Amino acid sequence: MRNAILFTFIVTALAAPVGAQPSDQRQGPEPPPPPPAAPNATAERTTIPLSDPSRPGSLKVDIVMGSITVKGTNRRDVLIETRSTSNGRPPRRRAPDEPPPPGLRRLTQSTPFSVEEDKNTVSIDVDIPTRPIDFTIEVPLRANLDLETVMGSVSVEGVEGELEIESVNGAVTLTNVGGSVVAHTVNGKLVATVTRAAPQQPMAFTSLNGSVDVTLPAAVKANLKLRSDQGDVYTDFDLQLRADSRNPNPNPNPRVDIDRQRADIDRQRADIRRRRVDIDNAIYGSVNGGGPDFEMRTFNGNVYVRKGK
Amino acid sequence: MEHEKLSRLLPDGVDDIESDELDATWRMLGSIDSPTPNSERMRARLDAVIDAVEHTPTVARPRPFHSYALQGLAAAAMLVTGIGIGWFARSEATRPQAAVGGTRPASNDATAQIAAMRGEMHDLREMVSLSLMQQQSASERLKGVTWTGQLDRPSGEVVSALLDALMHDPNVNVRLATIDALERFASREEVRRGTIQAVAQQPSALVQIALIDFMVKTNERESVPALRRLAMDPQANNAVRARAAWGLQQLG
Repeated sequence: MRNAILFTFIVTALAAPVGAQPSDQRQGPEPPPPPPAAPNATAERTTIPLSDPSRPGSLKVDIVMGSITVKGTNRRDVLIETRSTSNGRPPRRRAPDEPPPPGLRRLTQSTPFSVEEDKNTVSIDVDIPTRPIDFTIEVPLRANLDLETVMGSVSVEGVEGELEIESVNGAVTLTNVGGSVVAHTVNGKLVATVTRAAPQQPMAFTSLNGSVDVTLPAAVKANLKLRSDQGDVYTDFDLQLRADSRNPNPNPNPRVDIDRQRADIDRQRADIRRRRVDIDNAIYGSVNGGGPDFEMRTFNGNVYVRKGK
Repeated sequence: MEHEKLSRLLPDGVDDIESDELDATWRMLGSIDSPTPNSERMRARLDAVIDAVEHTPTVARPRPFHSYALQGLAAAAMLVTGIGIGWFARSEATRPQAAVGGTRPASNDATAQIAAMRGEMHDLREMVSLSLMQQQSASERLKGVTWTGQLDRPSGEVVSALLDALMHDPNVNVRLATIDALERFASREEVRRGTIQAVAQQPSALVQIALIDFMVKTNERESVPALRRLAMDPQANNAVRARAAWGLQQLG
């Protein structure tokens, strides 16, 4: 019963981005009604136990078409729900929520993906990569995630662990996550709220065409490397800018660094030949005394680094 | 005034023949090749000296450690070895470890110990960076890449591990970080070749742009053909093509 309510909630949440899609992929003159807030025939659920639930498990999802939503809940196994989606679906196919033609009923096809658990790592593979499937997965609160999709968004909520998230054409949204995050999207927006940062772990949030919006714990100790080639960088953190931004990793050892000297000699030589172009417009700064490196970078968007609570 | 001074010095005027001869002499002198330093030979000699200094006992590529406990144990073992080496150094005339530090303390025991330990610490840091770079987790690999910035005089192994990550690491952010880490070694031949190769093969547009910036920053003229191909490539991302064109302009 509880799961049914939860599922209803997730389906509703999923419906929002679907409804927000541009209507060019839709067929027919009128947009389809919002999906009903009840599981439909195309949804499937699978539960996979972890071989050692006392240790944090890992989840690996690598798909091409479809979105991935992962939620950390108070459970010891992994619950996988899939749903065929109209998102990116070839126009010939019926929308999943469309009622079957009169007199016919929809048959459930075999599971279009395979799940494997090995040494606490759950891996999901789709059998037909071109067939769009949306995944909604519940994992224990502590879990490592490795999620990748091409045509679709990735959302993670309430999971703490090593999070490796990548999308090509979708947004990446991380809400109330902890641990360390390494996230990238090519054409989407990257929004992350990190509530607990693992000490001494570097992080990276990058995009090519989207904005990067990261909220970090107010007390986080980090060295930030911020850069937007075509946009601006905003923060409300008290950022101690490094005096020498060109040299973010000053040699801790005062002895001679031959490589650096050689690089300097080469640079000087190049400078003599022609005017040097200083193009490194990255901002290097530390917050709360500094710590591991956090890189926030985008080419065509703004970078926001916000102080969380 | 200048002219008056000269006329006083040259009362008989200037002999035409003498002047022509002088002119010819100057011209001949001018045609002699000036002894410009052969930069390649200088580079080779410099490299030889650096290689000699850098010659450290090669660290076997370690298998990835699975826990910090193991790394801690390794650190403790290294420390003990370091102290041991320093201890025995008293009676030994030649010590390869002392050469690592580049210092040859004659009789001071404490200095010898410190030098040996410093060498061991360097090797250990390098080993940890290398092993981190082979971890499965992207965050750990990222850490390994940034740690290389803490190494002074890293071995060729570290540089090749960075180049390997730039070419083959599955994570975009790790590849991006290697470019910053490689900047220190931009003058090394393998880095120049590797980064130029990576420009063409890189699947991520963001990394490609960072590599183009790297080429401009290090004034790498040999990258011009690669950048030109990229700027002309209709398959390439528009931002990348524009950046490549910009890079070509900067490199002239």
